[in-house]
Amino acid sequence: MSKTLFNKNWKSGWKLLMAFAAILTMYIAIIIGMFDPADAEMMSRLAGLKFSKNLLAAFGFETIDPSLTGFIASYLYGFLMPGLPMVYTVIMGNKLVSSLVDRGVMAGILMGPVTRRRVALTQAVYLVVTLAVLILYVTVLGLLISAQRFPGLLNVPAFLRMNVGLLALHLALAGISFFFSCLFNQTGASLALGAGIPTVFLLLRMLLNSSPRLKLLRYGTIFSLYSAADIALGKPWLLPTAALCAIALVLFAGGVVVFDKKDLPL
Amino acid sequence: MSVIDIRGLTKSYGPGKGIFDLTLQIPRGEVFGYLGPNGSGKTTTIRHLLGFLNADSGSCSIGGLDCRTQAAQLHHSLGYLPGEIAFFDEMRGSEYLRFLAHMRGLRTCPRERELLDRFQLDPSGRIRRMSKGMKQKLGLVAAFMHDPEILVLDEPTSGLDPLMQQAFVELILAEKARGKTILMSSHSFEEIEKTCSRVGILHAGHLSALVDVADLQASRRRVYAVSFDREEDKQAFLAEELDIAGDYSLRVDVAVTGSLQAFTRALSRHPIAGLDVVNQRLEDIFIGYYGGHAS
Repeated sequence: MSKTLFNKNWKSGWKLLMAFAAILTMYIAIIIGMFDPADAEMMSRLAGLKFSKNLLAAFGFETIDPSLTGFIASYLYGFLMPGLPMVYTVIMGNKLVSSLVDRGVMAGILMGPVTRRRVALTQAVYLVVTLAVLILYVTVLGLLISAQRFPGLLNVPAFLRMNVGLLALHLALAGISFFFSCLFNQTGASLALGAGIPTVFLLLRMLLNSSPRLKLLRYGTIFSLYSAADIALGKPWLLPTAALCAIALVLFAGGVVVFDKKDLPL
Repeated sequence: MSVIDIRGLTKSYGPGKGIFDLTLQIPRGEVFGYLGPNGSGKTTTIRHLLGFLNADSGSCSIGGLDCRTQAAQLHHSLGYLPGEIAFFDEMRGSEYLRFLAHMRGLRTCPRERELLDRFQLDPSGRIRRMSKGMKQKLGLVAAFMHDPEILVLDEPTSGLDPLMQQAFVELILAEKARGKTILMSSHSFEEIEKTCSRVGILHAGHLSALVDVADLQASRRRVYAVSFDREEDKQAFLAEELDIAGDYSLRVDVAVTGSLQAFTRALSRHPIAGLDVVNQRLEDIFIGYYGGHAS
């Protein structure tokens, strides 16, 4: 780990993190505020707005569990929480390695007495730490808003499990972006796969949500390893979460090794 | 003992592209000029020295440390100026220098102030707003500021105005006097001539010559443009026994290798309107050295 490089990342990256925190704050506040304990059938009202049922399902907007926890699991953690921080991850993953090589700035970093491993590891740690901070923020905010608006209604242990699973999902997605950022010297290639693969995974998940008959697609996306709705219902979650962490570990380690070994056009 | 030691280094990017079986030793305290046309492999060699590339075969080391595997340790005593220099554009120049110092584990760099003065660079502005020349100066300060023993400079004067080129030459001569080992690439012979004791000439990835600069100067082929007021004067001049490199309307280019005596005598016998030195491409300069077979 290089503290200097970490600080430099923070200096040029904190605004992006704040922007995502702000967007997520808005969604969390609005969506939790929409919950009505007396009227759990939100779907019917949304359907009244002439959204097709399938489209809403694609975004995970289905009330399986009428409690506040179930509501949050569907409407916040069905699509928004997996989707939005993913955009942060993709941008940052690309910025932290591939973009520096592509612009030539990496030469300035590596001409110092620092190993490539240390540089790549610093960038990986930065991505993981900022992501963890973002999810932690989201968790605390969700707890606070729920406690203030609907005291005692939230199943706190289930909500915490949902967020741990969410962090694992995002670490795995970040692993994908980071790996390709380390692999490619051109931002174009890095983004094509580092953003492309997570996006395809998300689209598959949405397709799967709206047409459950396409069961085989389950095996085509890592989003299948995370379902907030299932966690809210108390279904087993440790194994898929551990699998996501393992995927993340392999991809981050792979990225560091690849960056250490490859040719750099600097 | 050689400080920079390149042995059989090969990195192929296809036929004629890359470097092939390159062997080169540079002893401590030498300023070595690395010359060659664009695409001849200068930058590829330098990228190996910095440990950015994996060789297909062969090896290179600096001060006994392998350039690729022991890069981090070796970079403590190495200064580098990239050929295509890039910075964190959003930073200020002074911030960038501080960043590099901290990356080196230094609080401040001993020579930063002196170098900024030498190149008359004000680093307080945003790098994004700096001109090409200012960025080049910033890169030079970054390469020298931690007072490294060994310097690898890729086209160090590109973008510098003549005054700053002179400041650079003075810096190199001062560093040479302090016993630094320097490898600098260039396609400007004048710059190499003023600073280096030995020159390696790279052609299509092969080291085609290793020359002492003194020898090169002696055998260097220079071209002079002689101009006339009248066609008759020119015709008379053409009758002289000289190596005519070009014949234009009222101008004749004369190539001279070694002594200028025959040429100056011929000049004195004719009414000459003007005399100019023709700026030559690197290849032309070495025609003399290769005996007219540079290709």
